[in-house]
Amino acid sequence: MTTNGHIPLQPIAHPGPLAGRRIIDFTWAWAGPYGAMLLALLGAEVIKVESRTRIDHSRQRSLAMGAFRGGVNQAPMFNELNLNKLSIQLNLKQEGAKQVVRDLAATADGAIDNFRPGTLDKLGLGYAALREQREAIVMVSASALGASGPERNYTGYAPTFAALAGLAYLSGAPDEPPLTMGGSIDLRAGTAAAFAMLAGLHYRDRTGRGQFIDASSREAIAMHMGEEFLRVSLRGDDGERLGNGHRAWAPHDVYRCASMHEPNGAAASNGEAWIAIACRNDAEWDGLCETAGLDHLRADRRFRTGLRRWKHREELRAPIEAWTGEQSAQAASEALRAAGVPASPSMWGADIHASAQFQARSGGVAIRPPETRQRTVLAPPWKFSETPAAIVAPSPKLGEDTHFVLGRMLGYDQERIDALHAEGALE
Amino acid sequence: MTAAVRPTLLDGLRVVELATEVAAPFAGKLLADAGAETLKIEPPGGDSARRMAPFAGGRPHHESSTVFLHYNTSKRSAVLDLLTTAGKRVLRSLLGEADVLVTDWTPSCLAEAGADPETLRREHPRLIIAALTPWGLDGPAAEWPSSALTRAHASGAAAGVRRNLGADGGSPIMAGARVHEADAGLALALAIWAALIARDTTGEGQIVDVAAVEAMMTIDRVDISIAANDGGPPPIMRSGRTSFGGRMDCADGHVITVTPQPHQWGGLLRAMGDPEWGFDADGKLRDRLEISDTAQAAIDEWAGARTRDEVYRLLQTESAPAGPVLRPSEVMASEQEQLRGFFEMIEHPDVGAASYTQFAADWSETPRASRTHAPRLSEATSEIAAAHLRPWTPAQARRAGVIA
Repeated sequence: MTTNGHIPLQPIAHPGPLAGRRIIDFTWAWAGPYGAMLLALLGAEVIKVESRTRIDHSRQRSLAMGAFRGGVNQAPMFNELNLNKLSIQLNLKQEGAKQVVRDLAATADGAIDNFRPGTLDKLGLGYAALREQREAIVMVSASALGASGPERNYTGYAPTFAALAGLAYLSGAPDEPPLTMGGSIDLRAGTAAAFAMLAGLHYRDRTGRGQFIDASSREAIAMHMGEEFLRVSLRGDDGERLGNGHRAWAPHDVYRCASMHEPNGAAASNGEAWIAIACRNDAEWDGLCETAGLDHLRADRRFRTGLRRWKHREELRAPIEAWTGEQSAQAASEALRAAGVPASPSMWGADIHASAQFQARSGGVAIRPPETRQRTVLAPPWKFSETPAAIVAPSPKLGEDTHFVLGRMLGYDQERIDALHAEGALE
Repeated sequence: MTAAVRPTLLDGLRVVELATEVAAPFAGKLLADAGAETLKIEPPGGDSARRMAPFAGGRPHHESSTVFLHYNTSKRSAVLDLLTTAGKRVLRSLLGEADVLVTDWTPSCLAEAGADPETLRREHPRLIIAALTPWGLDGPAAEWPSSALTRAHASGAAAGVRRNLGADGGSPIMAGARVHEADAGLALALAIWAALIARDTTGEGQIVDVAAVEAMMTIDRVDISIAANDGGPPPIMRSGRTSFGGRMDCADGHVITVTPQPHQWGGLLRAMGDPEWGFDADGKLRDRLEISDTAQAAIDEWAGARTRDEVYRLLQTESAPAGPVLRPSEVMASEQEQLRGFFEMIEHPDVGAASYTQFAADWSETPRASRTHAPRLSEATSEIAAAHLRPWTPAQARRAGVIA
């Protein structure tokens, strides 16, 4: 599917499960915009409220955002995280802009923001104000550490949430410092916020009641590893960093390969080739030994049982890598899977896009964001048989839909729109 | 604290779960914790998660796996052999009354149990059939063997962990705990909720097909896409330490700080007492890239002379985004999470009282607290058999090997 050029001057027609639902999107950076984008991929009409006076910094080139050159409509990060949305430019410090938000709220099912707690309230646009316009509105307010508690005003980005949630402590190799992660952490927080909104919208369908939802990015990460807290509660000890290892199984790791595809061929798109192999029982171990010509290991006392393999797991690396080092990751994976052994090349970037599985499942969608060249982005991760989630429009240019929203959606006449321009409400 | 008087998000919804280990059970748990009446059908011997370490009390037992206990709160359990004719009949009967089927069975297993999605879709038009399989219901990989490790690496998630934080050299690496599997479960839960909303409008159920590997990809979608479209990996933050943030090695632990915006970098410098090297003759912030060596050395020295918690407070006081690297036990003890009630004490008949995480958001009308403990193996089997295997008695069903 290819979506070319500009968003048509009509609400985006979408076949998804949230078709007909309208969401006001006050979010910026990564986590919030991704959460709102999930709603847009599911078919909601998501109107992103943004401003030149307080620009979504994923539209800007910055130290943390990689080296792209170009304007606010050409940022790869922004264009990945705001698909299917409309953009209205509003300077929320101006009274006229606030009135636009109130008018939009009167027509909206939900609103989502990821400002510091209280920021929208100070602008007179918090839940209480929106609810006056639409009693059953569902509002998700996502912040670093939640809207209550002594640290509610603390700020953060993805890596700090991972640190605060306990995930960084558990991530990394056993003998190395803890690892945090980047964007993936934000996308987890965004997914949790989208989930909270969906739950609120369904509850509203059933009961007619809206609600305010206080979402914490730190808790979003902690929620993905709840069993580690239960462990502390029931045993008194913290978990440990395992890298690619497992508490009970071996071999269970990644091994260097000669190449990604052909023997002696090119490395993966990141310049390396690795294969992940996991043996969870004797049958999978036997399958590995047969496939890799490691029958002498099968006969070795050190590796005869699962427990012994685990105890001597460091000694397994050299012989396994002696085999994988001569193979392409792809060929070794195929051979191992045919023998019933879980195995996969460690994939990245273009390798994923090129894989047969990705192509067969239509995992990529070609889009052409305005003012930049065509790119392939990941399709939505759910396949619905009746109400397909879909990418129907690229991320919007800054303020691309301002006139459409004001004129067609809210019914403002040109004189009123001109007056808003004149007072600086549409900057 | 009685659940009966307080509305929940999913009052009256019925869910049947045919799933094991972590990913799909996480979706089932989120529905169950939100108030759905959730029946987990376990194979004879139980969900293999019951055998996953670590165990409460340190002794392996099918009621004491911390993994099972976490991913199955608020559910009930019945043990049923779905390869028997009568077992299949019970499943059909249960699905006739259900709103949602959560499953992680591959297409061939579902077909063998007489529960292939297309057939179920025809027979139960309002049913939402939510399938989370490693590679999806179609495509060449649908039946490939896989494990949590190989799925994470197949999805690019493991490369994403390494690429973004950059241990020097070394291999791609998975994130800790079972985060990637939980990602897949949360993606499925999101789709189920969306399908419920669609059903509010259309009255129709549907098949929802989620591939765990694709769900994991989407969590790293920005970096994967930039690498694929723009060539090469995104810039690596060496050892997680750069002139605009990263890992600070304090006297007793680590703080992560990220200050991409000038005012945040300024906040970091204020926290350090406005060192001279940070400013030009006019008192303006100097370009960070020009002074990165000086800055990094000074930051290392400053952080190294202070405790983790002191550095965290100093930075946050100046609005510089920062977070201490906390152990899970420290997260639990934090005043912030104690006051927010993120951890809920739940009593279990075998392992006793313990702290369970809540969902990461709290709803004003339907507060997140108040769930029940994970089910004991087979606790609801007799009741299910009595209701769905008439005219057999549970004892007859047990003798026939349908239930255990």
